[in-house]
Amino acid sequence: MVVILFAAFRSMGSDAPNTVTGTISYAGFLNPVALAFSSDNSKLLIADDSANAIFQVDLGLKAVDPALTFSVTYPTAIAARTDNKVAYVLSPVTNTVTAFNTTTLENIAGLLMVDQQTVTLAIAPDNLTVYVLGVNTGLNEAYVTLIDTNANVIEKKITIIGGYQGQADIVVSPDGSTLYVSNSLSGTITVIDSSDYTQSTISSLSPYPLSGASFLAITPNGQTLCVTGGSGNWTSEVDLTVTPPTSAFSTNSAKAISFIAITPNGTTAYFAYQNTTTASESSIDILDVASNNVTGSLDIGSFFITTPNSIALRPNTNRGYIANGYNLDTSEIGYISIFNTDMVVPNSPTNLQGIAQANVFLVQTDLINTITWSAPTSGVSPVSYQIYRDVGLAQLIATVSANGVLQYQDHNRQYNTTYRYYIVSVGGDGFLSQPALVVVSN
Amino acid sequence: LKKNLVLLLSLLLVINLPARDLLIEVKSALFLPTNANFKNIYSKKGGIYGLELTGELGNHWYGFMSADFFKKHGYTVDFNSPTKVKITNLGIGLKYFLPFSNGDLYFGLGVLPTHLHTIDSSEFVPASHAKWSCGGLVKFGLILDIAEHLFVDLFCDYDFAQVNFKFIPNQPTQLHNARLNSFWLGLGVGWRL
Repeated sequence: MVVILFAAFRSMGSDAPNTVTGTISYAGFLNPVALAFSSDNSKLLIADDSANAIFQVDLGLKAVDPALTFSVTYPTAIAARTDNKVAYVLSPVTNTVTAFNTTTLENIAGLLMVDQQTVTLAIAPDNLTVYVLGVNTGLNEAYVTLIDTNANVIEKKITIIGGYQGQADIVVSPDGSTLYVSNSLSGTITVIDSSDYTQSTISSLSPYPLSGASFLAITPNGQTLCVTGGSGNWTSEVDLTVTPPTSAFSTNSAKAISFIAITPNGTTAYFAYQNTTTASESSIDILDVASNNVTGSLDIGSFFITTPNSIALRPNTNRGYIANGYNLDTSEIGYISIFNTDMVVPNSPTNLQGIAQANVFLVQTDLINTITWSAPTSGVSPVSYQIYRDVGLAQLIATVSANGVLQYQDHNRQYNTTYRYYIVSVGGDGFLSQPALVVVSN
Repeated sequence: LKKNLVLLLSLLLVINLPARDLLIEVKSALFLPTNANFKNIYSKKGGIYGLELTGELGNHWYGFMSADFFKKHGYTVDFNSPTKVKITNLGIGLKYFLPFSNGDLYFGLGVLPTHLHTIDSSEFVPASHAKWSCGGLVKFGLILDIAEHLFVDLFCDYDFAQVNFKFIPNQPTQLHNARLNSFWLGLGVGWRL
């Protein structure tokens, strides 16, 4: 009855930081433009505006489930709640926002019509509100429409002072208190207090202007707003800790910036540069937020980055994903690139062993799988270990302190069944190692 | 169980017939289980206590009824989960007496309605299981008349009973049958009418 098997699960490619490690391809992809994660971070949701669909990637299997496709007309932005299985996708063609289940990819609330041309959306940190940025160029107006995520109804519409200014992006501060809207035509940032919706403006800052301000990202501490110039080919950091905010850094590039993402600890920003002349020369460049220096680009190795539309950094891991769009140069469909960020994550646990045991009473038996492991032999010391039932790390079954016995007992198992356990090391900052697998058969 | 009750009532009627010899005794015995799982959990021996009524039917044949009680604490192997077992045995059967000057030798056979109750202490298993079953018993003994009406009974019984718990797939724990077979080596003290 007792079988012991163990093996190590490793992702493909290098573990080196800032390195592209793999690709997720799918025949249904045309032009992936936006990414989001399911609330358990086990699924990557991909909005493809040309395929008119939302796809779902199982991040454990690194593959699209072909049975799960959600049809949406020209989806360009997506935001997922972090507390349940609901995400919102925006269509600037139908001017709608659709709520859907991130597991089943089923529409759960019909189409929420927004009476303006939708641009993008963002979700509040408390998950209670989706902010939809929209414009009406005919009326020379711009709005932020609030969706109540519990009732999935439009709750309020805020008119942005100054009217249409080429509004391009919206982000919410980590504490949820402030909305920032980039205005590409006026080169300003509109600041909206989320409690009373009073507004102010960050104008072009000396010495670095915000002309053409497009994509935004904010550091987790809420102190720095990263602004990209889009086709203006620049990036800038706005120091939000001083009044009025100041622009602290700017860099120029020959390539258009299509997106920006900041690591969860706020130390590094990744810029997606689209080389509009030669797609294959696109890159993801790396900014050290503290020093305001571009430190290089992702090492793509034998992989490619062609038309990066979006970047998503998987929470609690050192994994990043790039939505590469349709390659006009080669007429090749888009794909997803996987890369390691520079987050310091612990190494996987070692020496995994699993044994099937039985606690035998007189009339009943509790079948117990006992898992043991050892700490990583190098790297940062984990503070704990998490045990999951699935490679996608969605089904957490236990957390074991690194200070105690490195053992977990899974009770109430069944005869003639094979069980797989994925164990990850958890660093002090919450980052997870790659999972290590142990298999136990009863 | 209905069959056992019918048999019990029948024997009561038989014993209530005018009998030449009627023995009432209290007894205690060393309970020696034979099942490995039982021994692993509750140790290799314990004490069982009970009452027995024996009445003459004629031609050296006697009918008997008994009630015995066993209770033991134990721990599971490896995981040391505390557990308790309570067994109630109701014996009904026949004895054949071979008299001699100061007593009788006897052997007997009977059915053994048995109630098993286990209480397991683990947060991962259902705590209580209880069920009736029916087994049998074989008895050998020596009755020594030590004074007028007073006798002692030195006996060795073997009882066999299996309590069946049906295995149900996909339950938290896997149920299985319990074998309660055991030898009893004991002493009874009684009153012979």
